[in-house]
Amino acid sequence: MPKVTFFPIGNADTCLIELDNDRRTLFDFADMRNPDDKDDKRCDLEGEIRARLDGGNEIDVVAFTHLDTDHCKRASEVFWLNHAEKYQDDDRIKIKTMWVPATAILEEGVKGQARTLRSEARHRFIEGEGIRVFGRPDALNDFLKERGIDPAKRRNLISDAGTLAPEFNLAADGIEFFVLSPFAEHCEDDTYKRNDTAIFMQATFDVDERLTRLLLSADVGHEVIDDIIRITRKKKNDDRLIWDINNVPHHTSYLSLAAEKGKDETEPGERIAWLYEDQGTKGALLVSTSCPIPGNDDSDQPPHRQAANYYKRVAKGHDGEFLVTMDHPSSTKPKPLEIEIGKKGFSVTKSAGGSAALLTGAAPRAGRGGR
Amino acid sequence: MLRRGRAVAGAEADTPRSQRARDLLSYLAQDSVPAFARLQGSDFSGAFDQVDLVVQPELVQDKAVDIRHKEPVRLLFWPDDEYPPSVFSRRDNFPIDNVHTNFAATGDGLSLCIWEENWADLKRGLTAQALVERIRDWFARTARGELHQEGQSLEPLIPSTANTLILPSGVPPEKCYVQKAIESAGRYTLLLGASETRDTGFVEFSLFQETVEPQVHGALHARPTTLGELRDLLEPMGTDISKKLGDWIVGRMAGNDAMAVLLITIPKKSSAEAEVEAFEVIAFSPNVRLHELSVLIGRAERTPEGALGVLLGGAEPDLSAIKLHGWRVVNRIDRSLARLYSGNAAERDFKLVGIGAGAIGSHVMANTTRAGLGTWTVVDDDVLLPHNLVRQVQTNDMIGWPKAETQRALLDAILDEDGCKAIIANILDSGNERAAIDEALAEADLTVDFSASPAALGYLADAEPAARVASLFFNPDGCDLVLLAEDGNRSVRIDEIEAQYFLAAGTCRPLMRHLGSARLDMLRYANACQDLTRPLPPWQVQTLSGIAAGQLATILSDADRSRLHLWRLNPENGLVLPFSVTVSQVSRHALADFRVSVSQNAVAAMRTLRERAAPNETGGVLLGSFDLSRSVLHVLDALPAPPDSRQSPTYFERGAKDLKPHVDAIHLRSAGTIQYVGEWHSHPKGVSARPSGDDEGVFAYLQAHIEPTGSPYAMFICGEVDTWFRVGWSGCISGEGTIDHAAG
Repeated sequence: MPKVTFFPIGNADTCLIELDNDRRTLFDFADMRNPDDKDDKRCDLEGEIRARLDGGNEIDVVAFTHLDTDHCKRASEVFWLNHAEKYQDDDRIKIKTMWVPATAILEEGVKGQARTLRSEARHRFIEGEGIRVFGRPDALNDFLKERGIDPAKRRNLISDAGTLAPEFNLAADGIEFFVLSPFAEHCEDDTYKRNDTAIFMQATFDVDERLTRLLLSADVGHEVIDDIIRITRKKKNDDRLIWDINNVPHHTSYLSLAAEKGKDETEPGERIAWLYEDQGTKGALLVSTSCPIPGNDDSDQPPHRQAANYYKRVAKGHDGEFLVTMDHPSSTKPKPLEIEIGKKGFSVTKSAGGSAALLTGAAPRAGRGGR
Repeated sequence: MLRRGRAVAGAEADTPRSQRARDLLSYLAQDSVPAFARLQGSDFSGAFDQVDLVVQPELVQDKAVDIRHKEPVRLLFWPDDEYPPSVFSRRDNFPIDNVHTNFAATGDGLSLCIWEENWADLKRGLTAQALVERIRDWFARTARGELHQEGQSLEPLIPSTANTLILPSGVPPEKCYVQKAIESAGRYTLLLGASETRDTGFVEFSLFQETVEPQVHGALHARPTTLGELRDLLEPMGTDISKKLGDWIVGRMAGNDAMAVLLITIPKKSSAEAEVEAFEVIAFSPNVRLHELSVLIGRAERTPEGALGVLLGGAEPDLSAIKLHGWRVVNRIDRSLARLYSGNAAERDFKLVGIGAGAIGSHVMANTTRAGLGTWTVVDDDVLLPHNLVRQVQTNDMIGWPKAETQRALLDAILDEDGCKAIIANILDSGNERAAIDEALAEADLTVDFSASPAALGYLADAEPAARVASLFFNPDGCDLVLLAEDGNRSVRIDEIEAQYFLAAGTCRPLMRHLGSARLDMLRYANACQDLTRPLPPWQVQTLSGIAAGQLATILSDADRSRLHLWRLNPENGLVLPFSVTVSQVSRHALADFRVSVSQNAVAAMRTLRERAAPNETGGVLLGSFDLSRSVLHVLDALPAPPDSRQSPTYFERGAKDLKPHVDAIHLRSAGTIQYVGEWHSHPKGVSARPSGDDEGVFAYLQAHIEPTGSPYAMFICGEVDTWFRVGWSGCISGEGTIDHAAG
């Protein structure tokens, strides 16, 4: 069964998708834990990811939705990077294809981790392999021309919103990725707002013809989400906004729902309300990749309880659940949130320590007569 | 002995009396492993320790039943853990009609049917975590729709602790009789049948029987607990139980004050237009006996002296005041149900003939009958003797009776469906029973020889009426099981397979000691079961017979190939190793007074050796077996030229170096069956496979030396396109034949 895993890493994103044919996709990698702090409840992300590779050392696709620290921390220490030898040793995890938004290549003045990943993305793009760039701003053509490369020769590495990412398809992989954002128009802004040009996708799983849809929405703000909905609906792609599982944006920040926080519950605009309330399926799941929801408004940082209250109401309306990564199964001992995708839709693994249920289940004993 | 943490007298009401409840509370209080369950409240002041929880089951998105991510439940624990805790839903809108429920041991109505096992067995491993996990698992499986099958009653109509009614198999008889009442540990088991016999012990039961109109499929969802509820249940099914029961009881009032049993048959069909395809039978007894019942339902009254008088009219009785106890109703099983319960995929009864009701035969026939394989016609002329009891299924009371008849009686008694037959005859000398045996062989899907007699096997090989024959027997020390079976077309007959079995026993290294202890003077591969010089433990008989029974089902499901299998049991450690030999096709020739069957294995050996020696001629000796009483010669193998042979393009002289010890060893290992049966040699390319002058000399040599012994003998010449042979026996040439290589 295909599996989707969200990791407890505080207000940060990492989502691993494992397929039945052993192909894997990793959305973001942010190893936030402070190993010197024994009270840090965030997981050892590198260890958790490696444990799920079953001894392999390559991931088919690693997507960096944008280059904020909470989406790429320690990536340059864990992954094999093609652009410089110092990032190359046998212990590193190789990335077959890197997915980045156009911004990740074009952005200027970046430092640290983001700069290293930009170098890697640029290197792969210039070399012409192992990368897919999302969004097609004119600036990308300029970038290529400045380096003496004919933009037409790189067109196959660029995917627009409104298309399927060609690395996977339903027939062979049991999954497809539909690009909802970035749009070219978002990328043209000179300021390159990272959050708003991030990769926003709908993944569709097919298990025995039961489709399960997962929305991966990074840190996009409400105006951009509103735009995504407007444009997607204009193109008659309403189905591409259906969701069974929704990784709600930006660690349950109210700013991904509306400009106003609201007193006890954030009230989104009409379009965003449609996305959550009408496009969610029966039993749908909302996942907040964040710290536990606070009971007060002491901090400006997400998660915001007003946004969480809205999502909880949405979950209830769908007869579903709203789960928080740092609160699953408990805030004292958070564990990776694993979701199995099957022919009866998804199910969140809720396994008690050990295999108690399995071992003491009502196994029939032969030879004593049926009962 | 002090119980761990047992609450002392006078303890406060906030401490559970039940150890199990205390364990649960501490499991819920810990946070080192996720419990996916939360304590909501508790009350230990009542008769049971009450613990309220919210459990979080692992749910699929597409739920068959509306189970929620958070399910509030109440657990009631028995203070001394006498019974499993009852589990109730505390959710107002819980879909109780769609889930599996049971009657709570705590007497609080319907509880969730979490526990299906015997509590004594279950509780041994039921930790606090396992308890919570079982509840979570129950919700998860209910949500996935995996907990009950379609048509299965969601609520058992009666608790499994009730008295039991045993019904005949198949369609319930229109008129049933109580044939026997057995009381054990305070519970009754009533055996019902279609014929009237009376053996009901001290309590008399009076049976009221009613069949309602056919109902469209679906489980009954509620158990009537009073006569009033039963009336309401049956009314829409077209039965006025109040009137019918009343009329019935009036006719009973003069009789003994029996206990009434109300037996209701509900014919079921899958749709309104469909035929009736199943029957559900439910049964109840009122909590009063007949006489009192007749008063309570308004059909009689008591005089001041206590005598009963029939009432012709009166007020509407209060049927809801008459409590009903449910009976557990169980059908006896017929062959088709036996197939279901034994995992036998066959869709019909097979007709089977068993020759010999001895050690292996009696067990295999009994075992396959339990599996619903079919009906047996048992052929045996022997009488059961005391020593047979050790390794047969028959019992002491049957001694002196014919084995065939006792076996048939036993087989027909196993299930609630008979149909087996006995023919008391020796198949080799069946006299008046000949026609009956031939008819049985012709009708049978398979005739199985259990006789361990090569003569009987030979008879079956020649029996033209037989549709298909198999043979099952043990080797002399009872450690090996042998299975020989013809294919459905009998393309290789059972005696030909048997001959190949002997060759394998003589030549295959793993079978070296298979027949090693056979007595050459009497029987070739098994001791008669009467022979007590060789003790054979029943467990070995049963182990190997069990395998044999399983193989019969396999053979019947696949008629495409002949089989030759062995199983070797190591009595020291119980290890059983299977061993298979591919059955070689044969070429059969009817000569003047002899039949010759040549295995393709033998022809292939000659052709291979001929090719290898080219351009020289080569040859060697032939191995085979024969049955003089049936005038059959099996040519089974051709040995290569001994090293001292002389081979040239124009002649071949067979040497003899090491030949005799080799053939003698094979002879011994095959219990004296496989022996030298003649000579073969090759002719080179371009020379026909017909005897030359020299070859005639060889045949004359064979004739001179073997003729006087009485054995048949053969000379084979293997050419390029065919193999020619001549067989001699008893003073004359029986005949010649050719085997076309292209046909093989």
